[in-house]
Amino acid sequence: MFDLTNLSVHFGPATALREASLTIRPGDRLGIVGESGSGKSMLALCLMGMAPEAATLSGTLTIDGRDMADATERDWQALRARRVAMIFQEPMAALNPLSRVGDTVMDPLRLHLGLSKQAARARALDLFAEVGIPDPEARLRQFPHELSGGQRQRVLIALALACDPDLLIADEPTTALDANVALRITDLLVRLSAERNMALLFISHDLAAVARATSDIAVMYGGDIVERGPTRAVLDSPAHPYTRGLLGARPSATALPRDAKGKRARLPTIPGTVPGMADLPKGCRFAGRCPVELPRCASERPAVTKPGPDRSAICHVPSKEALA
Amino acid sequence: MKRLPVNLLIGAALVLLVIGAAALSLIWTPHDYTEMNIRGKFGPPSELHWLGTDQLGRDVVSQLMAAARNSMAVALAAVLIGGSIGTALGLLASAIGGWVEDLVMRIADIGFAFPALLFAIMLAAVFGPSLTNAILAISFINIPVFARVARASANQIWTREYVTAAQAAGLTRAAISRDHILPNIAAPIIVQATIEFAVAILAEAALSYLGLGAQPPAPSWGRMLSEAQTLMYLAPQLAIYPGLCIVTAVLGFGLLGDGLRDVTDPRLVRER
Repeated sequence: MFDLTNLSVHFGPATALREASLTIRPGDRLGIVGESGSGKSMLALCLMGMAPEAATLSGTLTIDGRDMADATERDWQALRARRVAMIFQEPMAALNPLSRVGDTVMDPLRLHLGLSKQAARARALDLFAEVGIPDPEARLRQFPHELSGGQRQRVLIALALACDPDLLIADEPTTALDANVALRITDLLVRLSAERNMALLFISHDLAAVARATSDIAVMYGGDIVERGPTRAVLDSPAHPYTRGLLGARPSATALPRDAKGKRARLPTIPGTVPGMADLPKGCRFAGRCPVELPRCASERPAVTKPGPDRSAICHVPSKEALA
Repeated sequence: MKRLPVNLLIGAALVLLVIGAAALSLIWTPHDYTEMNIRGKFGPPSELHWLGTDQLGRDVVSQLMAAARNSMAVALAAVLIGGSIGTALGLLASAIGGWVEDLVMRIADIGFAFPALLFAIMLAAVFGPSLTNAILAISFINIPVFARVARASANQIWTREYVTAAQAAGLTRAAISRDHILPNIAAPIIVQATIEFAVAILAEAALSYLGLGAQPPAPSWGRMLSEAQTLMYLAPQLAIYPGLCIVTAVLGFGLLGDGLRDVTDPRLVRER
């Protein structure tokens, strides 16, 4: 079990993550959505013990009841792969171009589980089969450039699964893949999570993928978790104006309506851009871009509201429909 | 297929010539290079002695070939020893970072600040003139060169996502250095090794010329040069032949190294 309480990450005066609290239990499938720079990846790196050296962390992170505050790099190395593993956005960049993919997958097996070369090879073959790589025997000897994007991501998933982790962090696992392949990778991750009772932390800015993959969702903006709850409830009736903005900015297959002059409406966007880490408003991070902003929003941090069972949102003006 | 750079082709041809001669000398030379014939001294080129004979009547071609072998062996040993130690130090500095990296690199800077040849002369002078000491001295001056190249290249590789992925898979920094960093910095290391090979050949010739390297009767271009120097007016060709050999070998490895660098790192190719 992974437990974050008020975890903050600072780079000098800049804040990358502000008082994030999360609990991840075996088998949980939690989605994290938000724009680039919202702190999603920083949260993931903290769970891996791989936050950049320049970062200062405060708050607590416990793994199976153990406080990781004083954990050394060696302690973390023992946890990685066995307890928590990660897959990355760019499957090409995340594979060593000069290593056969089989060797890459066998590395942690030999290191952590102390398997012999033959045993590691046999296990790698099983893993390749489990993640749906056809002809695993031949693939094992291939180099990353010989595989397609989807196959590479499957290799990385096999690598992450090698030591049977309790938590798999998928940092934008489908962003670099085409839509059809992305769907299959998403479904693969859900299936693996269910079969192995392995928790899945699915980080993405693709709401459709998150809706498909997860049972719970956390929406992040500017280093804050602004809204949390069961995926379906949050996406059906978002309480935070940022969540509503994200949902509104989603392109759909049906044409946008025409106005009175017959002009096609434009896809709604959230005005402005995410401010830099050092220039975030003191109060609600979304102040300045929020359509329903009050004067106090920029200076005063909103309290947590409970728009429904198991839900929470940090907003002064949460949506009425969500609260009802 | 992309056209190979001219310097690579010329360099490779010269290097093949020198290595070929050195390899051939292991099994065959026209004559025994130590065989003296005082009556046939300063012989002109003939069917028997293609480049003539020296002041002791020894066959010049045989001597040059045997000296090529000696030169290659010294350069190879020096680059291998210095390159391995330097690369290991560079990898270590890059993997650990912090004050260890600073310390290693500052020591390398001190090594750089010494004129390399002068340093080799000093070492050979302190530990006595011998081929082994010449090899050690040349190895030593190679260490900071390789440490710097390895560390700079490794620092680039450490930022790659596959290294992050390997860390996420729980690999130690030592294992990552060995399995992921080293193979990916091999190209710049090999380029550097080729260029340092040329430097090592020159250093060996210089040390032997000064009497600090190969000892008689071991053949060496540098020693042939110094022996011929006193006879410059009598038989200038005896100085010219080993000089040409040194130029050929140094130029060959230098051009080959530059060519390899152009091929492996296209960003460094200058506009022609």
